[in-house]
Amino acid sequence: MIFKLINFFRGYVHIKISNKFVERFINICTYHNLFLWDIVREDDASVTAYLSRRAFREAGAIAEKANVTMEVLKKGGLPYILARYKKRKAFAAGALLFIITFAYLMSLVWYVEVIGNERIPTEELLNEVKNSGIYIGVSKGKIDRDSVITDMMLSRDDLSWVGIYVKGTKVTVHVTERDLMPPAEDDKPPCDIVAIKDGVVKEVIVKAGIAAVKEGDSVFKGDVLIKGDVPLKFSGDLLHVHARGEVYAVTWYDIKKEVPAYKTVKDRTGKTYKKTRIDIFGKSVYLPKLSNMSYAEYEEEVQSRTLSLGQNVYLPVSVTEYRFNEIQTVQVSLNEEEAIEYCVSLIEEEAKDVIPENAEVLAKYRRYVYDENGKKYVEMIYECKENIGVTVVKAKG
Amino acid sequence: MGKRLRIKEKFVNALELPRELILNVPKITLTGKDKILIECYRSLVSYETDCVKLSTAIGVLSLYGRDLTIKEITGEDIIVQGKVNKLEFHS
Repeated sequence: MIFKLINFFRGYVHIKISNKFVERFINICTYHNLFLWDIVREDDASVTAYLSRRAFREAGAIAEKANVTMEVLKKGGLPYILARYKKRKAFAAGALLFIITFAYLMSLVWYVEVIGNERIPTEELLNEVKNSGIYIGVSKGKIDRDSVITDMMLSRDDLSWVGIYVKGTKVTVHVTERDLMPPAEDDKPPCDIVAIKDGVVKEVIVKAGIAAVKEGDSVFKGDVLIKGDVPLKFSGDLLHVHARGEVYAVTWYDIKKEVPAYKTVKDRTGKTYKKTRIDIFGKSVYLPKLSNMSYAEYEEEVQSRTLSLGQNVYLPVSVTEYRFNEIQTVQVSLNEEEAIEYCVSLIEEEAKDVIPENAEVLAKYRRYVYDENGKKYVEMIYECKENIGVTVVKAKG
Repeated sequence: MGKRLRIKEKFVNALELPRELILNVPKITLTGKDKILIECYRSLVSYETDCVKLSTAIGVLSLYGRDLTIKEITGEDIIVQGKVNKLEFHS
């Protein structure tokens, strides 16, 4: 296989040698280090053989010396194919132009990507690198990575590291965000830990100060939980400290909602409208051109693709497909069971907003309440455990 | 075989050198019965579809068979392909 491939690139000639003493011709060829292969006896006075293009040039003289007649049956391989195209000037010019254009296009940046950012929006960073000189269409040779990195590090203080990789037509900007330090608590004024909501104390962890409540106590909003005034053992004087600690208490959240008779559902009507945007070299073309969508309510789906060759070579063409699905609002009437279920799901949704994130839900209670008009309500009570202590700086005096 | 050659052979055996290079004798490798490689031959004496004759340092080597073709030939090695029936040395 490899042998055949090499022969294709170097060019080969299939010849026919005729005389009584073809062995003499073969011996002289091998003596001159000319390589022959696939020698086949045709008849009593002739054999056919293959030899390389280079060997063929010398073979003519050898044939004369060996007194044999040499006849060319076939010339094959890349050099002979190229020789055939030598005369077609326009074709060669076109091929050359294609190669130059391709090489030029491949030397530009067609895709910029930012990775590693969690808090900083990608657009912001893309804008930043654009100002520093990396944008779609810039020549790869013009990119000065060190200066871009320096620019970015100087202009932003929320980055701790920036790396720029150029691979194919894609530039990857890899950033690492700096973890912003919390402002240092230099001055720690004397203070108390005070309850921000009502609850029953479950657990008290004091780090500084003296606990004012114990497990099982009911506390109300504003009650002092950990005192910052520490009596000294012998003198009895009060030492004012910055109280620290956590007070976990059981708290209750109560959400009540009327059971609805129906629910509103947004449903697709099945009508869709498709639009395609093609970006070529930074210019956008919409297909179809005219926007004649007239849906009052719709849902939009966007799917964008950038054409690429392999993983790293991005082409300056991207296709974005928009899909608009018409939506209509339908009121679905519910039976009693479904209505309650739906009501509970609404309450659960609201509870997510009402209950603080750090609170742990211990138990849920559900009950049904009727008002004087006979309307049915669902009431959910969430029993939670949370830290209710906040630091309150004491007024001086 | 002369005395000198015998000394040389003893020398080669003692040092475990490749015999075909030092003694200039052919090394014949037969793969199955359809491909035969002969290294260290001298020249091609005759080539027919049923017989290939080679001259070597230790005499003429004849290969008999059917549909014999010379797959490759260089100054040192020759590969003959075809149905080989018999190898014969004439000194």
